[in-house]
Parts: sequence; structure tokens; C-alpha cells
Amino acid sequence: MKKKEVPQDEGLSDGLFEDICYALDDDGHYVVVPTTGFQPKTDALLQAWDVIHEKVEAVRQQVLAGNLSPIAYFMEKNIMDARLLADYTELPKWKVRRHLKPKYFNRLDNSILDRYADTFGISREQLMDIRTIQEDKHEPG
Amino acid sequence: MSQDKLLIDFQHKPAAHCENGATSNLLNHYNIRLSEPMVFGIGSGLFFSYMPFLKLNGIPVVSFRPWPGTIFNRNTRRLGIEIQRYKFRDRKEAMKMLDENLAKGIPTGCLVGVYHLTYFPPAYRFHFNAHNIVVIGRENGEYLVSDPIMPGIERISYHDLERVRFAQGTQPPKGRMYFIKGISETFDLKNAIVEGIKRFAKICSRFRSPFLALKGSVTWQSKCGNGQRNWEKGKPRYIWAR
Repeated sequence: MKKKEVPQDEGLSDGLFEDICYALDDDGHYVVVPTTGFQPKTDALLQAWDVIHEKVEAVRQQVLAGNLSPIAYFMEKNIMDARLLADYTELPKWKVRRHLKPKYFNRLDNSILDRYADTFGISREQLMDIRTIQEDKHEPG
Repeated sequence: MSQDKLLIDFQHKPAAHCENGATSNLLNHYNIRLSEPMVFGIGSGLFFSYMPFLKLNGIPVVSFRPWPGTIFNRNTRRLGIEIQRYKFRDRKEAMKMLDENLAKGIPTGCLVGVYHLTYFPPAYRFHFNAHNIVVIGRENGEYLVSDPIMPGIERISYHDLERVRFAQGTQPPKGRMYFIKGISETFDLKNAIVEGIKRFAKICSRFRSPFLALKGSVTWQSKCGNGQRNWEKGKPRYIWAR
């Protein structure tokens, strides 16, 4: 690929960095060419995020309806599953699964809640407060 | 910890692939000037693996790079460079060792997870645990990091660095870190290149496993779309509570 043919499409890096490609210059030597993005790659990433957004929205409705606990919402928002969350909180997996149900979530003591809140990067009050989930607009990341 | 300043004079160069970039930058620090493609070649960096028994974000892993650490190992071995690698159980111990290394003036490579890297653009943050960064200094409780993906030097707090070094999930990095201990004055670059090429030829032609290298790519093609068996598809990531 020639230097001029390197695609410079819209990327998802927010201008923070440019991907690096290797392409031929006029003399036929390989040189480093920064690129802002490549449309198929951007589309693939966006599709992956779309799937995640749909799942988060579905879980959000479940939480607001009272079928799932807030932990389920934040777990989905952080792209985790029960095993990954169990690894981060250092709890057994079966316990994490149990805490996804409101019945068991309401019985949790503060030390366990703190572990979850710390993993999700929020405060314990935010985790307990249903308004956080009502108002939360899911963004990538 | 609070008011210290420590910065190793380290030349940062962005690269296309993180481990190549980290290796190239680290070697460059010890006056072995190899470009990223050269490091890639000596390390036989091209590979293929389709691993349906290993799941990343709920889907089978398909990778076109070798296992993390391999490129650095092969490069240093073929150039006769002495290195040291560490893996930790204890988080505080891991950070202490890193601090000691920085105090000695040794730039240290770390294997980290991407999800909690604060300077990364949000759209790129997945639970992917095979990213390589080089820690080059410390200032006011923040660490200065040369990330081969980013154009410049980035900053990350103590807490966040500890978190990314001990990320969880598929193949956790467990605080792995590596650095160069001593270099040999006379290294045979030609021999290293030939070894790299030979090794790659071997990878292409002689791997018997149906999941790795050439055979792996054939298996993967047959498994694309509807060819997957049930256990290879991966379960949905969420678990519904009843």
C-alpha cells in the first residue's frame, strides 16, 4: 500500500492517539504512517458496543422493574460476567450470582457492598441508590 | 511517596503493536537501535491461534500474535541479553519491586489489563489482559508511563497502576514485569535475524495442533458462521437471576 492510500477515516480514539501503519513512500521504502482510523474497523468496534448497550439497557429495565439488583446493572455496564466480578471482588462465584437477586442484595452488609462499589469505581451510596440507575446514561467505557 | 520526582531519560516512540513497541523502546534505551519491524521479525511475531476453550468477553479467542512475553523473550535470547522477569502474588510487593527498580534507574516493562487504564479512550476499553507498557518514572504519587500505543508519555496514579497490573479475567497478568539486566557488547544481529526467520518457517509448517498456526487458521475458517459446535460458541456473558 502506498503512503497516500492509507485510509484516514473517522476513528474512535477521540483524537488521543493515531494508529500506526507501515506503507511505501515514493522511493519504495517502508515508512511509518499515522492514520486516524479505518472505517470497517470503526464499524466493527461500534457494532460490538451496540451489542453491549442493548444488553445494558435490557438489564436496566429489569433492575428498574425490581427483578434484578443494582449489582447486575453495574456488572453489565462494566462488561463483566459473574466470574469476572467474582475475581475482582474476591468472592465465590455462586455468591455473586446470588447477589444479583434483590432479595439477597438487600441483606448485604457494608463491607461486601464496599467491595462491589470499589470494583465499579462508585461510592456505596451510589450503588444503593436506584436514582443512579434511573438517571444513568450509558456511555462507552 | 508524595513529593518525589524521578524520571528516567527514556526515548518514547509510538508503535503499531504494544509488545514490539515496548521491546524496541527498551532495547533502544540500552543503545541497541532496532526498529519495530526488526523486533517483530527477530521475535518471530507472526502467529495464528484459534482457542475455543479460552474465552475473552464471552467469545473464543482468535489471535494473530504469540503469547504475551514471547517476542521480548525471543529478542533478548537471540541477542544474548540478560533479562529478569517477575510475577507476584502480593500487590504491595509488586509495587515495591517496581519502585526499587525505578530508583535504580531501570525502565521496567509491565503486562497490564486495558480496561482500567485511565488514559485510554473509552471506546477501546475491553477486558483484555495482554497490553505492554514501560514504566519510566514517578512524580507526586503518579507514575509516568511510556505506552507504545500513545503518542506521548502518560500519567497514571498508584491505585490505577496497581489495579491494571492485577487485572482479572482471561489470563490475568498477575503483576508480571520484566526488565533488561545486562547487555552483551558483541551481539550477532545477522544470526538473530536468521534464527527469527527459521523459527517462523517452523511455526508455519510444523505445528501439529489443530488450533495453532496454519492448521489453526484452517480450523477457524471451518468454524466461522454456522460451522461452530455448541461448546465453541461461548455462552452469553450475562447470567439472569430468576
